Amino acid sequence: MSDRSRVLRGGARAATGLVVVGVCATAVLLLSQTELPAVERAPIAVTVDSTQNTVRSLVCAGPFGELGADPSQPGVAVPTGSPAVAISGAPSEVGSLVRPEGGASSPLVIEAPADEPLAAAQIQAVSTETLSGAAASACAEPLNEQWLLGGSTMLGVSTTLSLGNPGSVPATVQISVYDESGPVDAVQTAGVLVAAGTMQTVSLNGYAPERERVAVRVISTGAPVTATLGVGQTSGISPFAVSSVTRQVDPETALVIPGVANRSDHGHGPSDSGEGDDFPVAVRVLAPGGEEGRAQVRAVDASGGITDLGDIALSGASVGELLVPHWPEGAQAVMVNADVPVIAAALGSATVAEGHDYEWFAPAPVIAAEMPAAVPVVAGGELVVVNPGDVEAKLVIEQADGGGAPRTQKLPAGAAAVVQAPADALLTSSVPVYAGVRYVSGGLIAGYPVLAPDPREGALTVYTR
Amino acid sequence: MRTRVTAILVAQRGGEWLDQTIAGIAGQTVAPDAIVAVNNGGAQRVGEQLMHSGAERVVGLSSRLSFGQAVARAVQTVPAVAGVDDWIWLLSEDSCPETQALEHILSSVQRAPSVVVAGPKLVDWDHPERIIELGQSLTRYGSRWTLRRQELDQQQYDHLQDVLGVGPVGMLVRRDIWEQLGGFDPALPVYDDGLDFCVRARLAGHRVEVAPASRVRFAQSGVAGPHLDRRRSVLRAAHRQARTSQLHRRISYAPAPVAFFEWLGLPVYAVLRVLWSLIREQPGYMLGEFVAALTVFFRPHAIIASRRRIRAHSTAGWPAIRQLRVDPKSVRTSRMIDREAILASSGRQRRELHFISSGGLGVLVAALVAAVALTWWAFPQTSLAGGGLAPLSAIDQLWWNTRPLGGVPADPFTWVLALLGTLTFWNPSHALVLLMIAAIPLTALGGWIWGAQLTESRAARVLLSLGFALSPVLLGSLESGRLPTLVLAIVLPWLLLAATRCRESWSWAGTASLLAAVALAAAPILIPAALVLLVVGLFSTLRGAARVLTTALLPAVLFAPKVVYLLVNGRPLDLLRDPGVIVPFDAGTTWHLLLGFPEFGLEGWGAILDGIGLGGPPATLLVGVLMAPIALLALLGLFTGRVAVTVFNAVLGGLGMLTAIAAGQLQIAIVGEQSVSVWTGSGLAVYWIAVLSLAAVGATALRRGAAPVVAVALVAALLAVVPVAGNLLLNRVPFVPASAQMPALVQAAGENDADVRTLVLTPEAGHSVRAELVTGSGLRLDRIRSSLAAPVETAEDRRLAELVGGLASVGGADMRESLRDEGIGFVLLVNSGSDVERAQLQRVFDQHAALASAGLTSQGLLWRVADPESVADSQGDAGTRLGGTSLTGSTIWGIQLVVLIAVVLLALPTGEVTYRPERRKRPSRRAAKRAAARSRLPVQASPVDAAAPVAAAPAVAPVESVADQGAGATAPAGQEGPASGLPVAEHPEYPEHPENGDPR
Repeated sequence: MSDRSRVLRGGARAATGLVVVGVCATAVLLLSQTELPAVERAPIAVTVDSTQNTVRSLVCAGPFGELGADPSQPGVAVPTGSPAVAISGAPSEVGSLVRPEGGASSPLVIEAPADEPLAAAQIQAVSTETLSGAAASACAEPLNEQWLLGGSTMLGVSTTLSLGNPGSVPATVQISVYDESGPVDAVQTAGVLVAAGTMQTVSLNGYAPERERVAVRVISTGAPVTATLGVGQTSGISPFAVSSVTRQVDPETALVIPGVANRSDHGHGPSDSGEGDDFPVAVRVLAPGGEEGRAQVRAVDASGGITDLGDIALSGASVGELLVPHWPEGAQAVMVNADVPVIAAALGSATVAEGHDYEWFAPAPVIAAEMPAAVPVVAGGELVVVNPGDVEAKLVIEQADGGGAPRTQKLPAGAAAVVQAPADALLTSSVPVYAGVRYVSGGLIAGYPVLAPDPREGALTVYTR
Repeated sequence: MRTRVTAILVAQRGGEWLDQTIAGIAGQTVAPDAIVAVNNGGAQRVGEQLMHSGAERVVGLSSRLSFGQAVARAVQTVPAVAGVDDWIWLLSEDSCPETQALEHILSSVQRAPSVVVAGPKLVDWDHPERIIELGQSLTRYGSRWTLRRQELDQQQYDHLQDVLGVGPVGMLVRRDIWEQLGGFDPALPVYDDGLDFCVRARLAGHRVEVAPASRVRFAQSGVAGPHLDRRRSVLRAAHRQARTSQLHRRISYAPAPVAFFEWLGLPVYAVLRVLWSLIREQPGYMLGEFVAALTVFFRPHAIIASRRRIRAHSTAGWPAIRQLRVDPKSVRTSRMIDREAILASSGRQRRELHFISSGGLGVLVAALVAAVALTWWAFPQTSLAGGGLAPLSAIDQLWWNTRPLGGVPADPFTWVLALLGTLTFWNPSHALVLLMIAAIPLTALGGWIWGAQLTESRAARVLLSLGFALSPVLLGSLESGRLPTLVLAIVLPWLLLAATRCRESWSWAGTASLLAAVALAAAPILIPAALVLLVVGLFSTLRGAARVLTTALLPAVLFAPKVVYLLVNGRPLDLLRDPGVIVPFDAGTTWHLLLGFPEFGLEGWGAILDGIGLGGPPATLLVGVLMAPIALLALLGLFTGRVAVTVFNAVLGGLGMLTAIAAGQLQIAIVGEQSVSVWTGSGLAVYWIAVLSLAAVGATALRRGAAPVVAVALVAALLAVVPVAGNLLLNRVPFVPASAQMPALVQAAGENDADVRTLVLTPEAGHSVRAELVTGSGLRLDRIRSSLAAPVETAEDRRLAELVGGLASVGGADMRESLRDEGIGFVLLVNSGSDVERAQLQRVFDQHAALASAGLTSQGLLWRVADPESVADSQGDAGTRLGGTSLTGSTIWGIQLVVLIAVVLLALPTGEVTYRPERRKRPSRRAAKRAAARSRLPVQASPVDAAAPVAAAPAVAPVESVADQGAGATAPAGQEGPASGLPVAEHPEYPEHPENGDPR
């Protein structure tokens, strides 16, 4: 090949290279600067109603089970007395569960069509040789998975777990206990068989004794159950307090515990425990996922004032506790904000000269805006509504049976206030709020959250691809 | 005894060749005693030309007859002369004897009185140093045996004397024998007329000789014997004529009973021959074969006449010619030699790749080691599920699923699956596992072969093969079980190889068609790019357009039902959907794609670099540094490679990248609650092989420096895939044995009843759930039909959703009826997604009267439907007409199968290597006419001396001929075309060669 043709060939190749590089560079520049058109097909979401012709049933905890009341059966919680049940809404059927321990009355099962508002709660004043106080809990729908936080299994404190199965098939329930240092291994696999239409009460003291702080996860297969904790404490040989704990559904990062109160007629003078309350409010938080994190605890009052109560460090799925030395005057609720999903509970006490009682308050689910929520208010109970949002809430309270005139009340943003309500109230709010009922009378305290149904419940989105 | 020779000259076109032939006859050292010329249906001027040729007599025939008939007419006009040894010498207008031709051939027949026929050595008209023919013969099985190509005359055959037969041109035959045997058989107008005559002469006990010293220049223009030219249409016609003659002869020569059955079997034979020509990759001959066989079949009277003719004078019998036949061994040997020689002369001989010595084996071993390390977990498995993988149905169902069923066309990928599954027909799913294992070595092998086409450099080939086999696309696809991409990567290098050579032969075209079908079936998103390349291919070739179009045949036929269906349903975009299981992924940004990474996370780098605080653009940059050596080599390749290679790879890479970017923008698949793009990896595989090809070219330019640079580039590129390779190495893959695809209970039920369906529910989030119906014992890859996935809500979606809603209602209506209608036997709530929603659904299902809990399985919670009933439609109905057409699924399938088999036959390297004569320059008739006209004056004056001026004419003619060819050539074409028996369209082509007038 001659030099000339070699040069020519090299030139042609180089020119081709230059052209290609130029075209590529231009194309890349253009591509990186233009917004490319895209074709996107939306997922096929078919929304169906899953509440047609369905029935909602609520299971109440029934008479308070007193552990060791029968000396011959120290591990059995014997039902004592009978609770007063408040129902808001029109039940289509009211049945009851059978308890193997018997008892004066049976736990109620209240049923109504799912699309009608229905809620119920029970309260009981317990007064036996070893226990005295008031305990209240909301009647809840049975679930396959639920959480309970509160109580202890230390000496003098007995904590029982009641599992009610209103269904027609037996349920196998797995109980996992968490304590102040994390999950309790021993009972990971503990299973309880709950026959259809019965309520079983088991003692946590037997499963995990000597635990300062207890949380329980209840998982049932076969049929859903409703779980409630009953806590009874004695001080020495004299009764000290009674409480029952309403369940929580799943861990969340923002929780509102309405109705928390701490009453004492001792005043706030110096005492053994220093400059604070005699019986301080305690807030317990558990991050079941085991993540590290912090939970911020705040108290809210009627005018929208917020008091920072402190932080709780979360780690290793242990139950953390914050003791509030001094409960702010007029505070009506506790708000817990954590950076990981948590469950929480707050302990409020009532102390008068002749007696003492406490109650574990559980977080309330949100009441969706413009959705009438049935609110059962037990006799003597106060309805506490919390508006954690930034917008003033307009509350409309009416009677579930339609009687009486609706009453309207405004609730400022970030406030928690007591709202006048009939026993079978129907609460409609313009913004999402949380509600709970508190009963304080002398040395008795009890409370429960208002369990509003999830507004999305019933609407099921099905992706068929 | 005195010898008298009458030359018989048959002309039909006239013109310059005739002039030369006339001059040749006139210039003989031993002149023929008489010349009888025949104007065989030619124009008036041909007659005039012959008049002035010095012919004793000119016989004018009004219409064209075969050479044999024309000669017979001429012989009739010559009165027999008693007492002389009377010979006739057969010549055509395009056979010019050299000066001593008659002398030599006469001397050879005079030596032996038993010789009654002699033939000359025919040499090429334009290249007299090449032999066209030197005697003819028959093989053991009756086929004509002649030289198959033009050989240089080195007197290599000059020892030949006794032959079985000779051709008609230049044949010297004793007149009494000619008359006794009845001349040439009229049933053999073109081929074998001379051969058949010689056979009959031999049967009558005479001898046939060839005289190598007697040379006759012959132009094969079809006046005597076949018309042969370089043009394919001419060759096709010649082939048809050859086959007709051969079949006719074979039946005529056979014993009567055999002949009868041979004749009876002709229609079947016609079809078989058509297939055979397909196998031999001569699709142009298919019609000719068919016509030839039927022509013979419908002319039994001609066969009977020929048989009578043979029998009439057969005294010596067939054994007399046995020794003269060519023995099979010589046939084989010379065919082999011819094949090599023809391949060599047309520049198609195979290139030596030096597979072992230039590192191919080493690369393969390295790839095998990599495959063992990365896919060890698949070795003990016989079927895998998870990711993009699912088992295949049993072999019968597998093939059944390639049909359009129930009016819904199958994905072309099901054909690929069916072919794969057939490899391990006892357990088709095993083939998929083996494919996973073999993907890396097969891709490396293909890459190496493609590299060998591009470069001789060992390092460059290694870079291309290993770089492609261990690319992020391939390993990423391996990790998520994207079977179609693996198939694409394996096939792609071979496809490029076949597609770039498809113009060379039908075999390559068929192979390219097959591979293109596989590649496009695996990645329909590449269809637009393939169409662009097809158009480019069509424009870059003139002659091979048919072959280039053939590459599109099989893909078009496989995709046709789907195209029609989607067009009728108004969603053509769905044609580009990926086949198989849709695996959700996030498409990479343009920068990720440029680095060869199809997914957003850079195959693991995103998470790793995020972890050390270098997420986002820095991560892309860091990985980019690892890919930089390859990019630099590619850049070098752009500037140093051959222009064609550079442009091809640049176009290929550009199309691949555009495809990948477009795929990322086309979110047309839906999985649960998310929209999923078309897989970007398909385009990237094409892009990556183009980049690596350029890099290989660049590495070649480095010569000695290539090895270290390539080593650096490869190591860096391998570092870039360390995260994904690590996942494979540590078995962090989503695959489970197919036995764990569904709960054992469901699988057992599916074994018993293939129609039982399972409602699989995935709780996506609170109050939202994904519902799918799985038939039988689990999802089967070959059952998936991407055409079914309509982008809008259908009645079926609604029904399924209502069913799920009903099941999710506490204490709702009894769902038994609906479940039974849908044929649902089980409800599976899988173990992923939202725990809360799962608990919620579990609560409801537990209470449902229609469902009985079957407990917790490793796949999720399972319920059994109370007394289920299955709907029997697992097979699917292939009889349903495809939407928009009147064809049933089975018909379509049949057509596809036939085309597939045809293309496979075409692709087999069984091609007949045929010799194509060189292009022959034809002289203009008009020029000759002028020359003749000019010579008219002296001719008129003394007709006897006409030969001299005519002989001088050709030297003058070309000077004037150039000017007025264009006007002159078309008119005679119209005149003569129909009579010549050849397509008229050929004729206008002659004037394209201005040098036509040149006699040389």
